[in-house]
Amino acid sequence: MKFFETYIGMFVLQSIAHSAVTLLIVEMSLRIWEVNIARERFRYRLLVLILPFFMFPVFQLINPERGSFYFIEDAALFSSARWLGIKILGLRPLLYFFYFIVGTVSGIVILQEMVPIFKDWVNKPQEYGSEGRPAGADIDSMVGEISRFLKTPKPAVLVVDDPNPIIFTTGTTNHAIIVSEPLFSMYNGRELKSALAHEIAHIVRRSNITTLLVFLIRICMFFNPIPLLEFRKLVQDDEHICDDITVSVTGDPGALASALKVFCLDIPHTDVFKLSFVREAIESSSHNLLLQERIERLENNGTFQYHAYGWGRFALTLAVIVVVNYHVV
Amino acid sequence: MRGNNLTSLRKYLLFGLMIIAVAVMLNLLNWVPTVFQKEGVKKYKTIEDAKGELKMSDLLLPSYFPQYLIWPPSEIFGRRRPAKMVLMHFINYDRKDTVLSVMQAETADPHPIKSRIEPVKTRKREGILIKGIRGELSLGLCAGGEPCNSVTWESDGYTFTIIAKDSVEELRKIAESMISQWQP
Repeated sequence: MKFFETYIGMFVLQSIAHSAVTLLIVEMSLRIWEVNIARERFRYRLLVLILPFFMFPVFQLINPERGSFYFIEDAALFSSARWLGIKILGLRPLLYFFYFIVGTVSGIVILQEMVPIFKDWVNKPQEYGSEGRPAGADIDSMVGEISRFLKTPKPAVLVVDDPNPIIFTTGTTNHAIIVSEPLFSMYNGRELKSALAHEIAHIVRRSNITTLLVFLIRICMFFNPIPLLEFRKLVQDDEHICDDITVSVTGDPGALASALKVFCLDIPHTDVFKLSFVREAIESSSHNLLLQERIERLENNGTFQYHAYGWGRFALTLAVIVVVNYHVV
Repeated sequence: MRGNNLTSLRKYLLFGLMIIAVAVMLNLLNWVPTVFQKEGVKKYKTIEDAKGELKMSDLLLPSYFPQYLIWPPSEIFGRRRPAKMVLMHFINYDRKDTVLSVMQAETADPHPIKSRIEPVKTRKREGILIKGIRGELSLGLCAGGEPCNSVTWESDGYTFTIIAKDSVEELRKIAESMISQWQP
């Protein structure tokens, strides 16, 4: 328990508690305010990832006595240390469970995400950008038309020789769309336009830099299970926003849905007892589920309208999150 | 238009209810561990409650109090395990802030929690004899620059600590009034 009296210990404990409380308030607020627009949902969900990282240090700056016995006695709504301190038969089962969860989550983030990213970074720093060749004039003109519509500078389109269907945007300031050769034969004109418009929507939204910053915060909170789960929802919301922007450009949700189907992965059915197979199968299923959800949304929702963003409600929700969490130690 | 306003009002009402529900839930979750907790510091309403629950019949109270103090103590905190402890705070009649704290803790763990008044700066420490018992007098300042003096002594397996925003003379009188209770 002494660890949780140190600054780092209090940060670990309180950021997890703050994440849980923020998640609860955000999810309830989304329902109460009936937030159905992806862009709004994204902003609310961003709070779950960003606020818990900054709240503890800021609160401690405002009131260094926030973790003291008397603050807990007088002002705290909830003290997580009370739960961890529960002793049963001379043991602290909740403390051990907490250590287990934190250890497991840290292990998952380090092994599944930080190590592969580091390996990729070391082995192939510029795999696609350096190998790509410029796309043809027809693609260039299509990208120019979409860029003008979205009032953004036209990005370069680079074609790479890869047997898999690939399309993504690279760069945080100078963007380029990377497309693999097979996509040109798989897609018809409408689908290709939708796929390119979707990538340009990511450029307009600066998705790469936003995702990178949120990812860094998430990595800094590698011990916290809530950002681990919430990050996926956030990325999915970002995809929904870009889908909506795409439909506003093309007016053709069906074409984008059809373009997305190309990326559904085949789940292997051999080597079921191999750990690598299980991992691959889980990842593929999860990838397919997220894609399927987007495809269904595009096929069923029909219209994609924006309305004035409810900043007042958002600010109110933010204020409530901050005030409540100030009293959670 | 009126329908929109009503819907909006309903949403704000629901939001308000949600805040109350979250606050109540957190408070409830904060209370649950105190049911299981045997070792933590608890708050007591009266001295008799503390004496009874902590089985501290030898809990000492000053019999001398400066006029400006309010009786009974504004707060009583106690702990049974791993070492017994009682901490009482007294407030000033006029200023309504804590000006005196009296702690009696088993010597095994003499300072389990801080008092509400703690010197932020100690100017001088010296030995003191309180009715023949050796103790330590500490002269210091509380936050805000007020005098904040304390006296500590050990007796009968307990460590006694009195901190007061008052003069050394008054502090000595308070301490002596406690010692006289158990001396033969």
